[in-house]
Parts: sequence; structure tokens; C-alpha cells
Amino acid sequence: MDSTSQPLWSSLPSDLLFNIANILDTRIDLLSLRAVCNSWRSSLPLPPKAPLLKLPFPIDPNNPNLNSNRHGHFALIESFSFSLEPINRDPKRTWLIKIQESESGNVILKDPLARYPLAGLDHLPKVLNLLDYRVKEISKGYYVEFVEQGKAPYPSIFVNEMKSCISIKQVAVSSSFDKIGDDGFVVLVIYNGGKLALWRMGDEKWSTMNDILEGYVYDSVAYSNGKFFAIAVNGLTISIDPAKASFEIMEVAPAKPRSGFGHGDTFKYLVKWFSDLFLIEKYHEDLFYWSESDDEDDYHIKFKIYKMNDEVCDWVEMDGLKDVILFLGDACSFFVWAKDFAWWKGNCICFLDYLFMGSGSDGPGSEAGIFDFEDGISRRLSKFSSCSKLFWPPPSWLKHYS
Amino acid sequence: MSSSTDSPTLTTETTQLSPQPDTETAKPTKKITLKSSDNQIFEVEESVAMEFATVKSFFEDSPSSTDIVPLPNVTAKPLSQVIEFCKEQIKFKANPDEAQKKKYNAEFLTEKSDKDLVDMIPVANYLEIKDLLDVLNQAVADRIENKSVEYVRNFFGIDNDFTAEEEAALRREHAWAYEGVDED
Repeated sequence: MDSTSQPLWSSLPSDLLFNIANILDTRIDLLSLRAVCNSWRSSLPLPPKAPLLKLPFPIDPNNPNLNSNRHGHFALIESFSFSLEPINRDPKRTWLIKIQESESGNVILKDPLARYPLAGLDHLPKVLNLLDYRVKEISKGYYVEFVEQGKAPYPSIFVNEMKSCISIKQVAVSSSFDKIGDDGFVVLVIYNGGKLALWRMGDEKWSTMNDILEGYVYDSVAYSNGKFFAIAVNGLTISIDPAKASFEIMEVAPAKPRSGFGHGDTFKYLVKWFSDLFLIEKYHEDLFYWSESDDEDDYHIKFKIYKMNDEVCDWVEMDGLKDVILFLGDACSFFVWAKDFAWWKGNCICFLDYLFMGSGSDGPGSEAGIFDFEDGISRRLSKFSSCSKLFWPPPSWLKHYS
Repeated sequence: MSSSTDSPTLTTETTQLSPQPDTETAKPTKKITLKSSDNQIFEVEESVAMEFATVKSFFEDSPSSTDIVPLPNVTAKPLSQVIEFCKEQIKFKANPDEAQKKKYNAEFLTEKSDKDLVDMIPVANYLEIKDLLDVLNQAVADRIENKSVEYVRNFFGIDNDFTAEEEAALRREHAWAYEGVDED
């Protein structure tokens, strides 16, 4: 060591370490810092896990589809997308996973693009040890799930009740779980297929937004720069200020003409990256979008991407994604730099679509496709073998312990 | 590496780029002499030295002191870098320009090695230079973000000192066991 005259970091006052720990955003980075040496492990507390947050159920007690014997609550669930790479090896292969911590302290492995847990775990080592890999937190996503309570047997749930009372399409939260002590913690959800409701920490009831926004069906919500944003199927974009007791609503961008053909199967997603808010529009270009084109590998699923321009208060269309990749999942969408996934294609969107279902294979990514901004064509993810490996099967370098 | 015999004194005079905002003329700037733990002497302008809360209070406690200020916890290399930073900050104090300041800070940090940053933090802490400490902490956090434990250890130059037992306990904290796996 050439730094003998310099105080050793391992013996410095823990304040210096706290200062750095306080800036680190992710639990995984805090865990890594704690694992450096003995004195650091004793000075840094174990970062807290997300608390289990109960939200009131139902959102709308007057919904005619609600079974009056249904009792329970909603649970707000945080999930994390991580990339795993081997340490000290050329990261030719990254493995993308999504986890949700369970009450037992275990983790639930989930499909990185979907909301359901992974099957086929027998391919995996029984335990994944984070110290064995370079682990990067890529994104956080939130779900709201219904938790049944009361006396079993529970009343069966029929489709209408599921759709209008139980299933929550999308969730946005006003800060991360670690800052949940703030009184201002607010959750915005899309329920009943397209309506908005807000819940503030401590409230016994949801505030529904239906009186003010009658008739609009919302596709997507996001939280960005201190405000909630919601976009309706017609493109109308509103913001909601959670700091205002009355949840002040403002129109941010007007409704706009629909892209593509027809009325169905257009979908809008709001995705935040750094301090920018993006709108991604997915549509089918053709009446017969389900038919395959001349090249049987091509699909007529198209995308447009817009960035919110605060000055003109409108969406401004972008010319592709250039050196960025977008993963567009069910309530978990995120951007990554193409250089971080060097073996993957850049300037593309990886997305789920029912057209890719039933491909014969299973595992995460089997129902995904890639839209390439360069040629404007969507193809099955499985056509790109190096890309589909990001999801499945699990890489051979995972360490198995007996 | 320059040894202490090559350049025992580093002064700040030659790099005074902008004119003194101070309009009181002909007031010779007072110099303060600092001595690092490896016995290098630094002559800095009083205004720069007063950025160091530790040095400032040294003079507040003994106003008449003309002695050399010994800095027993600080070696020459990080000290010279800290002085370089503070000299620039004083210019920004005189002529506030947030954009320029940001740009300068970013460049200052980018060109520093990991070791430079890590060595400067205790110095900035000891001398109580809050602004510098803040930017250094941010720079270090940016560099160790998303890195493996081994990388972070190397970054700080720290050896893994866990015993086998402690290592096992540590590994338990970092283990993900999955829900829904059938027990054998």
C-alpha cells in the first residue's frame, strides 16, 4: 500500500461513510457498501426492506359488480428489475430478472416484463447470492393486488367483479418506499378498466376522479418531477399535484388524432426516465394486423415515441430511440443505455403482445417482440437468439450450491 | 511522484487569472503557510485558507499567530488538489456563475483518479470544506453505483477482513431464496 501516510478508509469516522451511503439510491448499492469490510458492516445499518402497505378496499363501494361479502384490502407491492452479470468476466451475457420481496423474507421471482411469478424454477440454483454477481438495479415497478380476508371460503370472483373492482391496471407512487414516512405519500391507480383514483397515506378512503373527468378512459399513469401524469386513450394528458389537498388537476396536453387503424388495440404508455417523461404509443397499422405480412416473421405492430416538452406543454415526437433500448412491460417499463447491453440491438423497443403468445416455448420473453426503429418492423424476440437469452434460460454461470 | 525535495513550496500566485474583485487597491494579499503531514509547505492566500474552517478557527483561537499551520492528518497530494479546488471556488464567490461553477466542478472531478477522490474526502472533512465534501461524496457515489462488492473494495483500497464465520453471515444477508420452490 502506498498510502500509509493517509488515514485508512476502513478506520475513518463513520460519518464519512454515511454521507456516501445517503446518496446511494438503491438498496443493492447499500448492501454492497456494507459488505466491504468488518468495520463498515458494523457502522452501516442493514437497509430496510419495503414495508407492507395496506390500501383500502374497495375503491368504489357503489360498484354494482362488487360482491357485498367481499372483504379484504389492497396491498401495494414494489418490484425490482435487476441485471446480473458474472464478476470479473466479460459480461457477454446479462440476465434480467424481476423480484418481489415476500412477507416471509424470501423473494418471488417474476417475469421481467409481466406481473406473474416465474415457473420452472427447478432450472435455477436454490439460492441466488448477490455477492456472487455484479447486480444492478435497473428499475422499480409498483403493483396493487387484492388480498382477501374474512371467513373462507371466499365468494368466487366473476369476470365483471374482477375487471371493475379487483384488478388494478396501473399504479404510480409519489416517492419511493424508503421515504414512505413522509406524510405526503400518494398512490395513483387506474381501476375499473380506465378510471383514476388517488390515495394519500393515512386516508381511509380513495379519492376517485370520476366527477371531474367523466367519460375518459385512462391508459397509463406516471410520477415525474413532483406531479402525477395520466394519459387517456384519446391522448388527453393531465397532471395531478399530490401536494395540493384537493389534488389539483391540470390539462397538460390536448387529445390528439389516433395513430394507426381503427379503434381497438392502440395503447399508450407513460414512462419516466431521469427527469423526462415519455409517451409511447403502440398501434396496429393495418386492418388485418393479425395477419402476417409477406415476410412471415414481420408483424404490423408499430410504435411512436414522444417526449413531454414543458415549454410548449405538448408531446413532441422523437425520431426513434438512437442509443437507448426501451423495455415495455405490464406495469414495469424502463429504458436502458444500449451500450450497457452491448450484445443487444439499440434503437428498439422490447414489448409484450398477445400476438406472440402460444409460440410453443415458455419462460420469460417468449411472448415478447422487438420493434426496430430503423426499419419500423416488429419481430418475435425469439428471432434474436442473443437477445432472448437476456430473459431465459437462466445463464450457465449461475452458481449452484448444494 | 514528486518527492518533497523537488518542490518544497507550492504557491498560488501564478494562477491568479481573474482580477481581484476587491477594489481596495494596493493591499498585499496576506499569505498563510500550511504544512502537510509529509512536511511539504504550502503558501496560500488568506482568502483560500479561510475556506478551510479548521484553519480559520486556528486563527480565530490565536489571532496573532504567524506560525506555520500544521495539518497533521493531511498529506501533500490531496492537499494540493483541495487548494486547487478552493482557489476556483473563491472566484465563483466573487463572480457567481452557477453554470460555470458546475462545469468546473464536473471537470475537476472527472480528471481525478478513484484514489484521488478517496484521498481527498478525509482531507475535505478534516479541513471542514463542506462544498467540496458534498461534490466528492456525490462523485464517489456515482462511481461505485451498480458495482460489485469487490469493485467497491478496490475502489477504497480496503482489504476483505471478514473471517469465514462473518463471511457466512454476510452471505446470508445477501441471499435470495425464492418463494415457491418445493422443498426436497
